[in-house]
Amino acid sequence: MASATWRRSRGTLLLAFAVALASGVLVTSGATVIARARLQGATPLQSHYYVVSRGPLAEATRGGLTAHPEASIVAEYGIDDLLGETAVLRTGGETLRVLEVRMARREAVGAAADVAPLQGRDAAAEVATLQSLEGVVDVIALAPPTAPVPQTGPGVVGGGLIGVGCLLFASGLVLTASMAVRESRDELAVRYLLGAEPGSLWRPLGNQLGMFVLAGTLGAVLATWLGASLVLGRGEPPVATAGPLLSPASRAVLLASACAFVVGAVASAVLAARRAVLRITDAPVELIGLLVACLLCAGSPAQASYAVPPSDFQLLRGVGRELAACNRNRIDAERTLAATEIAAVHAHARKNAIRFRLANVQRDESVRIVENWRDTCAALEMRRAELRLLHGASLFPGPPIAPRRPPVTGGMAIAWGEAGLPGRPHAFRNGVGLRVRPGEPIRATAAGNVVYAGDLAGAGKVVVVSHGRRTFSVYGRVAETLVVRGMQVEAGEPVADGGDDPAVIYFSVRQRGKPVDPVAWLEDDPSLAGEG
Amino acid sequence: MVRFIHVARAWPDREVLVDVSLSVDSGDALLISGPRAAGKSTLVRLLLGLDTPTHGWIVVDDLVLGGSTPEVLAAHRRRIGCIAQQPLLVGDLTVEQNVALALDVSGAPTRQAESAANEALERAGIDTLRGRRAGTLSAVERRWVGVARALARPEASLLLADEPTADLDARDARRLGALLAEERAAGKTIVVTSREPSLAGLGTHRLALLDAGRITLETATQGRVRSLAGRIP
Repeated sequence: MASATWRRSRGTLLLAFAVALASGVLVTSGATVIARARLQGATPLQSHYYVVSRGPLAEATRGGLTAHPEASIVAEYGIDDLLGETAVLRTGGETLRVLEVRMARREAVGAAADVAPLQGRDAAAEVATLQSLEGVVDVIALAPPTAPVPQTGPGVVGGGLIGVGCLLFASGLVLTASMAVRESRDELAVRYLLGAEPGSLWRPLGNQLGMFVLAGTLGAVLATWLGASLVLGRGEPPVATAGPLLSPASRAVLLASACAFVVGAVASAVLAARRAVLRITDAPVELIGLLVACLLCAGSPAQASYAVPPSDFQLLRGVGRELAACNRNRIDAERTLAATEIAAVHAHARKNAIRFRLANVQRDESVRIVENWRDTCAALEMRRAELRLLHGASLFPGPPIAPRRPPVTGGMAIAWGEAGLPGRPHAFRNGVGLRVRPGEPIRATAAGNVVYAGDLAGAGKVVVVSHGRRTFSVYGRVAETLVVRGMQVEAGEPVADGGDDPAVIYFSVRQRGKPVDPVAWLEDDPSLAGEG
Repeated sequence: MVRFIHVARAWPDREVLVDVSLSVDSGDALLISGPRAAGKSTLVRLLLGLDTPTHGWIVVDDLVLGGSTPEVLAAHRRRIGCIAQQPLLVGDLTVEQNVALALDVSGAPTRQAESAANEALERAGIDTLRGRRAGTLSAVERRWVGVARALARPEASLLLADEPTADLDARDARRLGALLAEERAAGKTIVVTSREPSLAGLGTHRLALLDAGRITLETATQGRVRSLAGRIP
């Protein structure tokens, strides 16, 4: 049923979305154009400051400013918005925030004094007051704006955009609703003929309209963002919104209708979902109980797994991830620093004092952040080196393998890496060939446990001895095995017989599943190292 | 049990039904036959509660139609399995979903509705069409889907068929008649309207001949009908 509803409604849904999007973009753009024109034309009655605050402490600064009786926050920007030329870069959430603050005059002012900048002690006192707030890095006084220029163009354009948007919305609404009714007509008729309850008869249509409302809401939300982005240039702070355009009563009506819109959409979606649940099972209560029980049961093993202390390897992996994240943040911070320095140079070149000062503040802050990240990264590097040592120890449990001795006294017939070369049989790969004198036994190269003794396809009779620490020695092509699986052997104890004829046996050493050069391994005897 | 008691229905310009009195007991079958525009479909509409008579009463089981609330009429329709002259189907739904709608409107659980729908599709011999969308069906296939939807209601006490054999060949018409006979054997009251005076396979049934809104003949046996067939215009 759901797929049929989707198949039937997708065209109308897309239309509802598109209409809401288009009309929303038009209305928002129009309102933004008018609002910006009004803001630009407004006469400033107070002095303005940029209050630069540290990102994490911006909330405290905001609180301090709100509590201040004469200060009011006009707008808030990230410092990247104001520096313009720089790309917006992350600095681990420590980006500086710039609050544009309006301070009310203390003395009675006349019309002429409105546009004059604050002088002397008053301005200094205000700066000092703002400086004393928590989290404030710097306070910059803004120059008084120029006299307002009346603008009629944007008003006409904005009004036109709003009008077209409203017209489009109204016609789209009528069109969408009539399409929805037309699409549901057959089902409504069938349900009526089959004797559906009058109360439930309109439910399919209601669900469908609810979906359209949802699509329309999505379109409108997207439109608001798009409209603001279209009208406001990139890098321009989003100060001009439709807010100042509307009276308090209009704003309340707008808010109420938006709430009703959203509540209607959500309620309709909930009803549809409830109906879907009821169709799946007649016992939703039991289903919900089962789900809760599953969640509770799943929670206990999860908690239990947290109680187990992590292994060295898990710690090492965690530190590795932290280090990678830390390095990324460090690189980001260094990029921000570089970008800020470029911004400072640009500002200096253009003799823009406010931007130059902002860039300097940002640079100092970036330097601090970069140093922080560098320290953290260095600490993590040390921790990782320490854990690697610990992890290495936990990988090789058991005592060191010593002493080590050659299995036979004969010389080397096929050296390490020669197998497969012309005249050298391929069967000796991953090991060496050793000559055995007639009647000479083959001895265990070190103490260990026999894990295999018997025939192996392609290698004849084979003995494999485990020496612990995931190290094995392999003796192949022997005439006779002298041990059985499970026997403990000492270094130098015979494990196989070479036979009465001169022969070449296969000897190989494997560590952690990989073959190593047996000669080098024999020479790496820890007991010899101790003597040396 | 269905009773038409002196039922009349008049439009402003003409009288469609004039003093129609008919009766069929529970578990019995009634075939209402007559030429085009004799008032057969109006009788079906009145019986479904889609229209109200100008005069007279219609009684179905223990309910007197006319002046009933929408809720009562909806409950009345849920007790009827109806094969309409041109079955109305939801084109976007599959055949199975269309048939399951008959139980869905009664609030039956989905699984129960689906199993009843599948059973009805098998009885109607169109279980191979189960997954097809109704919008892609031919006229004959639509007719059979309508039949399956009427059969899918086990609790219905009345099965109403308006010109059910209009676009069926003789073999299919016989099969449909047999299906209606099965339903009748299960205790349902069958009311069929048709231009033909008989329906093969239906078995013994009552017959009413309707002409220009008036009952011209009402009889009870199939043999009698055959001898009177020549009188039908």
